[in-house]
Amino acid sequence: MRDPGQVHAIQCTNCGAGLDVLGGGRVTTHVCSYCGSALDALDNYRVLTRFSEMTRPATPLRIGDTGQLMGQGWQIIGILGLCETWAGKSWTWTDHLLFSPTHGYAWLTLEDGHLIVTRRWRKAVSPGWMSSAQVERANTRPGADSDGEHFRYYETSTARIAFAEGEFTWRPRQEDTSTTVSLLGPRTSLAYVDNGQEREIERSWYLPQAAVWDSFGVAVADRPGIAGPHPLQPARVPADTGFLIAASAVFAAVCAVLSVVFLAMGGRDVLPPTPVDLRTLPTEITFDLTETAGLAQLRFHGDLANNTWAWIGATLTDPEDVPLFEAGRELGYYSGRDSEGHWVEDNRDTTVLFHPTEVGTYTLELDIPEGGLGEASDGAVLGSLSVSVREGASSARPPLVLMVIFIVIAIGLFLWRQSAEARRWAGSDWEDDD
Amino acid sequence: MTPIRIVFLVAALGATAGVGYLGFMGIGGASADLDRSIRVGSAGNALASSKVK
Repeated sequence: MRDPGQVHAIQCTNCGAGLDVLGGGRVTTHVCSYCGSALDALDNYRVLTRFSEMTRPATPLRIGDTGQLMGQGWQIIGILGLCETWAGKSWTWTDHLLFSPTHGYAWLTLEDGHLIVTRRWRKAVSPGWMSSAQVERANTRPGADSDGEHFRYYETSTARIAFAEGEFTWRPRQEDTSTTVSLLGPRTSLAYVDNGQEREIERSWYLPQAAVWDSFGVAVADRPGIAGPHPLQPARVPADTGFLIAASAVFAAVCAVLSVVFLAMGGRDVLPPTPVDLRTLPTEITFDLTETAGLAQLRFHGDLANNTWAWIGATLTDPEDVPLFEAGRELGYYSGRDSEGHWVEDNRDTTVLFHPTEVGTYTLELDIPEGGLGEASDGAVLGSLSVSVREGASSARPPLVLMVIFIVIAIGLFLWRQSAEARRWAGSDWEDDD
Repeated sequence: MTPIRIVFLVAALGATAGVGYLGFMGIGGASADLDRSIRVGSAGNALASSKVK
């Protein structure tokens, strides 16, 4: 609440222009919007100094504008135009000093079209101070902690006041400079500011842009365009990315365990390994299946001489004497020696997996139509062949497929987050010593 | 617990339970190269065919 006896307006003691008095009791300086005179608010507004040849910064916000920030009402009482020049390049931004009778003072910064709010940070910070010289001497990227957030060094900047207008809680002078060591956290940033006279620690928040512009009554057409991303801008990654990555990894592990368990659940023997009389081919073998749940497995094992192969043709008929399927499998055994040493290709075992359609006696018709030595097809050279059958087997394939999906999700989210973080830190001036 | 976490956990648990059932029953594990085109078909409409002169 404004004191009923408080002054609401003054006349500039230099040019006579009428100036609104909007700030609270901590205002010490009032810079005339018309002549640039800095007036002493604590001494009858006598002229302290004069800002000259100032260029008004490009901001649609004006002194006296009111709006909502972080759930509180604020009024703009002062505007500072700041500039940093380094290596022939210059960067400019505008600080709007805000006042709330109940919440004091804050800065609303407009930089590259982004709105950021900054407040003096009075909570405990570790370390309590960080200078640009300390950063220069550091071997690893400096960090700080406060309010449960960890901050890492981002940049050091030296800003110069290029424009001033309105009320301030200290005495700004044209060409005054301040050095700011900025550290970036996951959600906010922390700054150690040294203006040569005093040191402050400040914390900044990125604002919901459209809502703030709306609350200050700035039309969409008057809002400055955004020139690239801001490091404080929330990364465009799904919410709870860390949780989703961890949860995906856990579910991938669960699927891996399921796969191993199902791989071990190979069912029970229906037909133990049974030799096939190769002289009577083609031949038939019968076996009984007692359940339709799970997989049935036909396993063939051939005794092959070195560098030989044989093609097995199998036709299975169900208890109703209806053919279920026909399948072919190659058995082979090759070995040799090359520049890398001895090698073996052992394919003397092969399987056929199928779902039984009903319980009963199945008939397997077997033949070996082809085979040979090496790559020739000059007749089967199989020493012996045995067949075994199991039923009620599980399959590791479904959990394996889901495991791959969870791994892809986890890796994809991780890379997405890393890429977003890299973009946030792209403007940092820290260089690791290699 | 945020909505996105709840949705993800429910979906992931459902999917894991689903593949658990499929894997246990052996569904999806059959050999992919089985030739089932040899099923014996019907003999055709023999009665109708017999009327063809």
